[in-house]
Amino acid sequence: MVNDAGQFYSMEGIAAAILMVVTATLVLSATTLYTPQDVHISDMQLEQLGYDTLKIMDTPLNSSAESSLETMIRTNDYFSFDSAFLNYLNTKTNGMDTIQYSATIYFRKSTTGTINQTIFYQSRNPSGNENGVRVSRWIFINNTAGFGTWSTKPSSERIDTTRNQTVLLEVFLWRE
Amino acid sequence: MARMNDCGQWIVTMAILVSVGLFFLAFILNQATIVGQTTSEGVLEFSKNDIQDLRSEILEWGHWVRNNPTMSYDAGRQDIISLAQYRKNAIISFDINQIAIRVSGSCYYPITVHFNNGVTEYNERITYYIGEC
Repeated sequence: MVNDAGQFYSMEGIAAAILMVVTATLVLSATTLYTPQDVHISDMQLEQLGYDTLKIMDTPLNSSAESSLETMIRTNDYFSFDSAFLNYLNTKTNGMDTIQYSATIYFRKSTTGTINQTIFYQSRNPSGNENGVRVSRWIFINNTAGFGTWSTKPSSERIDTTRNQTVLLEVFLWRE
Repeated sequence: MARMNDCGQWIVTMAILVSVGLFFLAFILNQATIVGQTTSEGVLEFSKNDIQDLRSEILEWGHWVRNNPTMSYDAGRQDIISLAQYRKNAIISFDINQIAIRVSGSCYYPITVHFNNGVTEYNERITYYIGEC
């Protein structure tokens, strides 16, 4: 006995096949976006963490006091900076994080008007392959309180020691 | 055609309903992944931290100008303008007006701030309290 009852099954089969192929295409194209999305979220968190850390360190006790970060930059005290900064950055509720940094100071030489730079300190030498973010902070330098060990730096890497000024502390952060 | 009837129409109707439902679910899943990306990109792009930092630095100069009313802060202003162009791709202009304005017994320096990094433009007039007068 040959009849056409199977035609319904064929039609349903074709409809189901189209449905599955379309759905699978949509779902697969969606999952390929997971990676860039995750990278952006962790970048954003690391950047905010860096800005917040510098902000904590640049907050003085009162409006006429100097902040601890300003004191460190003014006296070129990179050892204090290193321990305080790494501690604030990496403290977690449980254990320590593995964030590393490289800090550079950019400043303007008033005699020549050029922008010069000097490496303040780096917790580790960046290899250039890090997936890092860059954060920065304006630092007010008061010239009435002494300049610490800045005089040991070569003249092109030395901030002006004769005037009040603003320098830019730029920190490159990455997670190892 | 003896055994032909229309029972199969239910199968086709239900298949259409289910396929439309699944299509919308897949579409929502597709869009949901983009939301987290654009949100974090938006946060990275908007220069909230730059503006807050600039404000606090200008207020430090305001504080210095209050303590040294006869001295010029031009060199410090030039530092900020040059460094912002060199490192932050931002055009900054600010002015601390050393002629105080008086509002009900208190004196203030009016400070104007302009910031533009090509994506975000920000203008503000701050008043820095300098005491009773």
